[in-house]
Amino acid sequence: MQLGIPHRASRSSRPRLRAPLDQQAIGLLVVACILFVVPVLFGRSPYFMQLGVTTCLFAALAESLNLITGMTGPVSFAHAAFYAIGAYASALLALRLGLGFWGGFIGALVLTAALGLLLGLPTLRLGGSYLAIATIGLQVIVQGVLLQWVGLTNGPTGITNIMKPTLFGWSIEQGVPYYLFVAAWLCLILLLLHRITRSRLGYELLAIREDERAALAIGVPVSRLRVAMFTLAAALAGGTGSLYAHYIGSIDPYVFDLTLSATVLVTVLLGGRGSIIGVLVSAALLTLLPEYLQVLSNYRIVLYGAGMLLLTLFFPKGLAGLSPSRWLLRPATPPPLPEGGGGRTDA
Amino acid sequence: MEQFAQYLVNGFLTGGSFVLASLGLTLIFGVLNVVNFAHGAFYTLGAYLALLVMERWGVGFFPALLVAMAAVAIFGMLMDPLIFRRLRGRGELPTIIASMGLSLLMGDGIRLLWGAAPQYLRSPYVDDVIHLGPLILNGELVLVFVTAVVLIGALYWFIERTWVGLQIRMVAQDAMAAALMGVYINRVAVVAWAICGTLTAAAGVLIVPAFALEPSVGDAVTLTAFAVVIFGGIGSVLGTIVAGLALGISESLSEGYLFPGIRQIVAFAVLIIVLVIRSQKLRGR
Amino acid sequence: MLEVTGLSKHFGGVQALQDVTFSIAAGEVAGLIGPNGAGKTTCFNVIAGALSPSSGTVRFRGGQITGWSADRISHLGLGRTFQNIAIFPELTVWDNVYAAALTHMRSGYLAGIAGLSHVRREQRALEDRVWTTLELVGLSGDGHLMSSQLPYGHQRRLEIARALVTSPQLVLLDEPTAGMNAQETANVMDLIRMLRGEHTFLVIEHDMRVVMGICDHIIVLDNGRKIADGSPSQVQQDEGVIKAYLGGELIDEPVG
Repeated sequence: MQLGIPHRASRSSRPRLRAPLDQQAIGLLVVACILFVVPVLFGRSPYFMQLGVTTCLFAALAESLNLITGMTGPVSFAHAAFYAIGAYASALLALRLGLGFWGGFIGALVLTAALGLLLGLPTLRLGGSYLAIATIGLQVIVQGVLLQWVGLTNGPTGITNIMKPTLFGWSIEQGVPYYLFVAAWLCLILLLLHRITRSRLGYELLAIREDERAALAIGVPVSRLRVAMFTLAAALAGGTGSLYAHYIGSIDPYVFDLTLSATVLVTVLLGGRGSIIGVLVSAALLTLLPEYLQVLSNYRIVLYGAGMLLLTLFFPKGLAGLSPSRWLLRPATPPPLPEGGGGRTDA
Repeated sequence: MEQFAQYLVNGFLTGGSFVLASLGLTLIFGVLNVVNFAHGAFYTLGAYLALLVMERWGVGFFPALLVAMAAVAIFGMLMDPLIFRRLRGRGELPTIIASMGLSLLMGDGIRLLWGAAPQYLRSPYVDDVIHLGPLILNGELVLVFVTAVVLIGALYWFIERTWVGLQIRMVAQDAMAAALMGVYINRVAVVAWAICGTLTAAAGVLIVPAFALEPSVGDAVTLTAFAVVIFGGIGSVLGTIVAGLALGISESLSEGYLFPGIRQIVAFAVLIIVLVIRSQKLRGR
Repeated sequence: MLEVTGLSKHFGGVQALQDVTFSIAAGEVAGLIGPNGAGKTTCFNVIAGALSPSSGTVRFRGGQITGWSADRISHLGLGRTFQNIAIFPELTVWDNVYAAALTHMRSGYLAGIAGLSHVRREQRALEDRVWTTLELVGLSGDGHLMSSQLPYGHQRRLEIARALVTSPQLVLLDEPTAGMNAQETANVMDLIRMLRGEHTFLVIEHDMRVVMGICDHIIVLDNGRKIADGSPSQVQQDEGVIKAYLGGELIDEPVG
């Protein structure tokens, strides 16, 4: 089975190429179908719709962390901070400045991107351990500021009465409409991530994650990309935060703590760093399981901790490592496979 | 002026407690290159164990202190063979994740075992105050300070004057070279963890009486200890001392002159600034 | 092509390079030799931008590149390999080389993400180039193998392929034949001979047969200083060089 591209037919000694199916694209299409079928089946139940919204928000957050920790490398504990900043920024812009949802949303994207850039520039230059510590520091500082700066954020009481988004005059209420809204955002993020992994950027990020020194040697602008990805991930987290704020209607600083950051990190690890689908599955698991295993809710954090330990010790590749084909682990474009297998290595 | 001196003294004493709480971390970080996010959990564990022993068996404060130190030392010694030894060759990331996991596990585990309600660890000096001229010194903090000095002295003697201490220094400098010279890294690791556990548990038992004992007390300790260790230089006992005192003083001053609650923010801001400055130097460009 | 002037590099107390000066003409194959610890890899690292020198300058293709970062220098036309092999272990052989090719694409990041057609065209052209390069080093049948599974000698070849795929003007090879048997070594030597002229090579080598076999120009370092610089025969007879190698390693065949 050849590609049938004329210019390739000339080299007879070269193995004929066969472009494999893009399994990741197919997987994501399936996910999208599932996402949009859900409201058809469960639309009647507000409980399920809420669960759906929570799952999609969490998945979006996890995938945005996947962009940094999964695809580029550094471990960031600061993600809940960007989520928080997005939520607060959106709420404040919408309410205090009267910009409404869209003003708030765009403002949140811009603001978190700017902060991600600002905070990323100095901290990303640090090595792995120092970076992790610095991100914890960031997380704590942000939460502290949100709690303390009462004038801006209302302190521990938080912000209430956050309005629902409106689209072409229709208000997007809780239930099916908001679910579709959030699902669309998630799909947007998935599409973006998918396209990244299929492009030059995806390869360069992979190179950075594999061996930074070698990546520099082949011309990958490592620091610039790291900062760019951190900024992008922060913006995505911020946008997700905005959607959260306008969904819940009232936010307070206590939600956005280090435990949330750790939970998101566990999700990425469980799914397999860099695997888009793996992280999706793991986000779904970690949102839905606690719902059904309410009896264990008291042990949630202990389980996360134990989970992190066990994962690192015994399953470093996460769920994606369980898959027999390696495509789940390598987000980059599958190579053209030689027809009939290899084996002729002329020395 | 008097108030300034008071803040200064408070800060100094508080700094002493920071030093005691951070020594274990600098040892582990410096010798084994482990970023131990569970550090605060050892602190908390020490305090709760002391409480347990005092309430269950009516033991006095100081014997309880010793028991806690020994117990956490043993617990720490288990950390290496169970967890960190297996991760030694695999780079920084697995260690970071494992220690974060351990932190969550221990922290919430303590909550499950002892309940989240605040409890009180009674030390004989907790209500005492010492008057030094116009200045008021909190008795508990003085005790901590004195103990810290004693323990630091012991630590110093151990590291500088004993055979095991020499091995520890060798591993801290260059683990591979030390191994080539016949040092058993695993044994050194276990000793290092034991020392860390002892010191950190002592810090917990001694400092907690000044506040309430809750499962979450360790979190602030971990963060502060990191700030101190990085500020003072990883692996450097002297650095930890200087940094601990400096941090204590600066927190005390800022809390006095600015507003309460700024403590953690200060600690972190300092931490991040120091990290960034160091990164400029470390990059070698 | 390459001019190194007064290059010095010290790390704390250790003086790795001391006032090293040499130049390499376009199209030639130059060898950088010297006893272990002479500073050869440090010299590479400074030239390639992995380290910045304590003093001195590096000029590449007529322009100053001193202190530039490695990725910038790579885009200027410099490729390199590493002493300890720095391939991407979790990627296939194909992906290792393809990644390098993509990094030098003319199309930008956003165009790639958007999936524009000119990007796909360029990608296909690059796929061609990757195959050519793999054929050049003899790994064309192994494209789908995980690079960490390759035997040592093949991994070295992979690294060379990765350095070559971007068509660099200057190629720095750090002990390219280490760990290779006689046949593989001969192949690498043939490869270099074939590519010289279009490409310029600077090779660190311990195997004197290789050095004498392919180099037009040899630079000798010892303890961070340059002690000889000239044609193979000149260097072979240089007293300082003979002393540095402790008695005639240059003249006799090295063991193993």
